[in-house]
Amino acid sequence: MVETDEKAVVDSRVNLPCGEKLRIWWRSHFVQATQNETGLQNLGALFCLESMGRKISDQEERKTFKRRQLQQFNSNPFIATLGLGALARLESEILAGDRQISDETATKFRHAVSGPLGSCGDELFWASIRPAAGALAIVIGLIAGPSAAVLTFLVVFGICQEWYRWHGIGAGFVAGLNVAKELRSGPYRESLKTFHTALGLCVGAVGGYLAVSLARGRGTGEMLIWAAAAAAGIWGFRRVQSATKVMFGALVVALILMFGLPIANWTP
Amino acid sequence: MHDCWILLALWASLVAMDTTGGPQWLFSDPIVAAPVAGWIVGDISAGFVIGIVLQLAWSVSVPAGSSRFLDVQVASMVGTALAANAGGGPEGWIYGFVWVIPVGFLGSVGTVAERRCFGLFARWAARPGVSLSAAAWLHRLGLLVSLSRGFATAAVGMSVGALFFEGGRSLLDGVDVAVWIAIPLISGAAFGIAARHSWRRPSPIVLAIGAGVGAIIGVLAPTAKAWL
Repeated sequence: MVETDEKAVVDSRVNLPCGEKLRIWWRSHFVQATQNETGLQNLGALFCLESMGRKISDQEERKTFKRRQLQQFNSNPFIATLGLGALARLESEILAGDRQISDETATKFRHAVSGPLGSCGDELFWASIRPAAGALAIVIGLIAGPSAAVLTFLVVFGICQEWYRWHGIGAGFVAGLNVAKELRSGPYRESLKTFHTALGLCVGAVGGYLAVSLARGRGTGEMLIWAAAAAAGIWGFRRVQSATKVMFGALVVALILMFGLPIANWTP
Repeated sequence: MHDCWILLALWASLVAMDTTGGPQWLFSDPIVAAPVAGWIVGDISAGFVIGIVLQLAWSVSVPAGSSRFLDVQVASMVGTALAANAGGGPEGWIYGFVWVIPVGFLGSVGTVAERRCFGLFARWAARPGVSLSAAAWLHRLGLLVSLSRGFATAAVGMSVGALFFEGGRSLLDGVDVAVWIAIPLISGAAFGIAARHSWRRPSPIVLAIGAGVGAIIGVLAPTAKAWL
């Protein structure tokens, strides 16, 4: 993290104008649109903060602004607003002449903040909220039909992500260079436990529902096949640790069973 | 599928854009993309089944940064379209699942090419003569590239898949039991992935409580449906 000085102490009175906040919030939905291998989301960050650059009348300073924004930037897309808010704070301070920030400091800050933003967001969204929302949608869908599943997933995930996006801009702007502290706060760290519990409950519910539904009216042989399939899946994943490889393995076995084995007339 | 392939390809474009570009509301996840594709081709149950299995498998993936991942989003809807094209039901679902992997790889290759193209965009944007708004427009152009990637992946995936599987359908005649074994194998693998993923984090007790709740719902749901 970039070393903080007295001037970087959070000023809670500082706030981003609502119009600016709305613009960053909307544009943050597209921060990943030109994700590339070298600058990652650099063009996306520039796109989100473009309106701040437009306020700069001096052409040379505007070029410097563009150069600063095109430095490497990375984040999980759903909490990118936290980093963007912090960058907006830096830019507004430069605009107001409050702080002289060199390109080197800005670059260091972007590098320092990218790692935590990426890992924290991935853990929160990709590994917790999305699987939990997906499992909940599956349970609802099994009971009430596919349309209910689609709606549940979109609404649950949508509410979570929009809340984090909106909250992130303000929090990042207030925190400024201290944005890493914000990542250790309630919404980002403590809520993980809640989402993990929800994930466990929802995945368990899918398993329980499927087990009961399948058990109804099925023979012992077929149930054994299902149990063996689930066990093979769990074993396979523990061995190879890759979703794609397990899918591959399952498909190969499925194809062998479909076309290769003379079991068409087999009955349990 | 043949009647509505343009609609499907347009849906695939949106799905691809949502996956890598925006607005990332995750209507691209299989649990949404596949049932919508099923609705377009008139077999929503095929979409739902394929969506459930792929969503469980996809749940374990963390598409962090520039990581390369199987494009299950577009693949799930192409698989659904093929499943419906093959007449739906368990046989159709198998065709759909089988076709998900190659289409997913095709989409993955497209994503890598797309990122290289975006690297060029970023370099152009960094040129001193390029204005701020021109750089922002280059970024918007990225969405168009993602849309095109989805359209191309779906068009190739559906065309080749329809040719291949319509020709191969007779191979499955009379192997119902094998089909019924193949489906749980794939589902089992997917579910195993998701379960293992879950066990790593919350305690197994939470998972067991969830299983109990799901089992109760499973017992009560048919009664409730009959009553309603």
